[in-house]
Amino acid sequence: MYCFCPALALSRPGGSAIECSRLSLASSRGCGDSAVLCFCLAPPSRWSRSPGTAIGGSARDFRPLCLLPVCFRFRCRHSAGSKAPGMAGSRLETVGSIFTRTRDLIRAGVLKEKPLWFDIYNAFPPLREPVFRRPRLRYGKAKSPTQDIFYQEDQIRAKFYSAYGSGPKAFDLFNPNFKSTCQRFVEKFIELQKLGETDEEKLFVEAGKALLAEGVILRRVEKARTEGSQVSRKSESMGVESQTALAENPPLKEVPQAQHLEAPGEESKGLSPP
Amino acid sequence: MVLPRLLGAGVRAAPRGRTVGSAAAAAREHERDGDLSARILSEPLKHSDFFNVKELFSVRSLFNARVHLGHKAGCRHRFMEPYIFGSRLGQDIIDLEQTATHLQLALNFTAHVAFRGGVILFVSRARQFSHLIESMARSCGEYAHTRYFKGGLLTNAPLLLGPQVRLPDLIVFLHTLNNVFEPHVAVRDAAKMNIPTVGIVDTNCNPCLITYPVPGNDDSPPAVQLFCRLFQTAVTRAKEKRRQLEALHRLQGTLGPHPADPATPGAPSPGAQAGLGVGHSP
Repeated sequence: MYCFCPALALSRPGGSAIECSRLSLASSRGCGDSAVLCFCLAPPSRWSRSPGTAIGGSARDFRPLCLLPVCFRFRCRHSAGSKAPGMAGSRLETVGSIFTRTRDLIRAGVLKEKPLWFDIYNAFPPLREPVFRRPRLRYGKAKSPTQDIFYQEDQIRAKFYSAYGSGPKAFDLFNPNFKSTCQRFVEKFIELQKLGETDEEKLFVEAGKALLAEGVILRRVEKARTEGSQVSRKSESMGVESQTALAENPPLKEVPQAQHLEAPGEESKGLSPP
Repeated sequence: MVLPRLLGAGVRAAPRGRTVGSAAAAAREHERDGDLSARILSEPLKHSDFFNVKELFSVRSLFNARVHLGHKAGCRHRFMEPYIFGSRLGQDIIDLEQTATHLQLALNFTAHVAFRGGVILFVSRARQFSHLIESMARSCGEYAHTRYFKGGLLTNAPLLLGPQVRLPDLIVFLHTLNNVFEPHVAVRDAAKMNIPTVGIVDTNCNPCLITYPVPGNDDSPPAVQLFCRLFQTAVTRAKEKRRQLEALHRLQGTLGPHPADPATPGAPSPGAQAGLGVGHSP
């Protein structure tokens, strides 16, 4: 609360009755969110003189300090105050951390009592100060620095899955020490690799044989599925091409020609033996 | 669960019913109480791990509880990237070395708050673990709020909960997000009301406003059960330690300047054994 009447305060130790009472009233209401600026009309002729002097004095003594009415109170945003009697606080969660705000309020004398957690935070601060940050989008070619996790065994695993699909045994995730068929295959592969073999296809076959010896049957993924998928892929591509420009007709005709080429080849093979 | 009203905002070492005796004697006793409480409060802060929370968990135990499993890479929050070890076939893996450090700090802070008689509120909006968290809070004598969080519960507490309500001194979030995958309102409100927070942050959460974030999985039951157990043990340990220290100091106080026989049978004996310093498991 700020009293804009220093002259009054100095010259009148008794104080003008009205101003003092108004000031005390303002202070009792609590400086929650209002600042009280007391602009006092100074009729000094009545009070500044010694008691003996006559009241109707000279106009010289009249010093209007200001012309605004008494007790002009306006509300300013006093964020540290609170309407409820008790703790003051600062609700600006985007400005600093709770620690910096509380520390500054204590230093300013607004917050009388240190909160319970203050000393603990001081003794054991977190690794990162909990300051608000606005999440911004990444633009252009900026990528997140998180790396993919890959191992050397992943190459072996990829080959295993492309050849055999998912293994014969289902994964049991409840067991923390579970070893899947793929994992056993990978371990066999690495063992054989350490023995000195270098050819990867040989290693693959050997590892498969070793697992078979242990009693694990590995079924290869059917080749008919892959051939059928190839044919369907070709017909799809043909359909797509026919919808596009006419300039692509020559390649269109080449593909069925290639198929026809295969067929007579087969027929000749069929005719020649007998 | 509405936070029950606690009347008499947090005056710790208040003299209870000291009407008998002269005013001077009462004042002396009050001073001694104040000294004792000041000593009790300042002593634990001098040790780096007064409640020995480090022994409650290990990186291996965190791994077994699946704390390292995060969400898919598309759900990743930008501010969680420093805490992520890497991405295995599209799933984020949280760095458990960092989690261990953060968890130690968080448990230590929680224990100190409980030691000083602070009110701890466990908040979560995951319905799967609502019962577990509530029973855990009840068992360690603290509070939980796992239901719909009304608008001004923290910021407008005198209106919603009545006058003279004591707000929590620490809020522990077991799930930082609410049911629509947005940050829980209490995170922002706690920052507004200058209440420190401890929170388990998954890879899709914003750890900015949380005072002591703990990067970890908050979706798997083993992980949430582990965290509940850890917080419960930390709080219980701290309260037990406080009781022991108070009993010890009271005993030393009554014996006066010549403590002839510090060891006495009954309740204070565990306090005498434990003593000051790094606490052992009770």
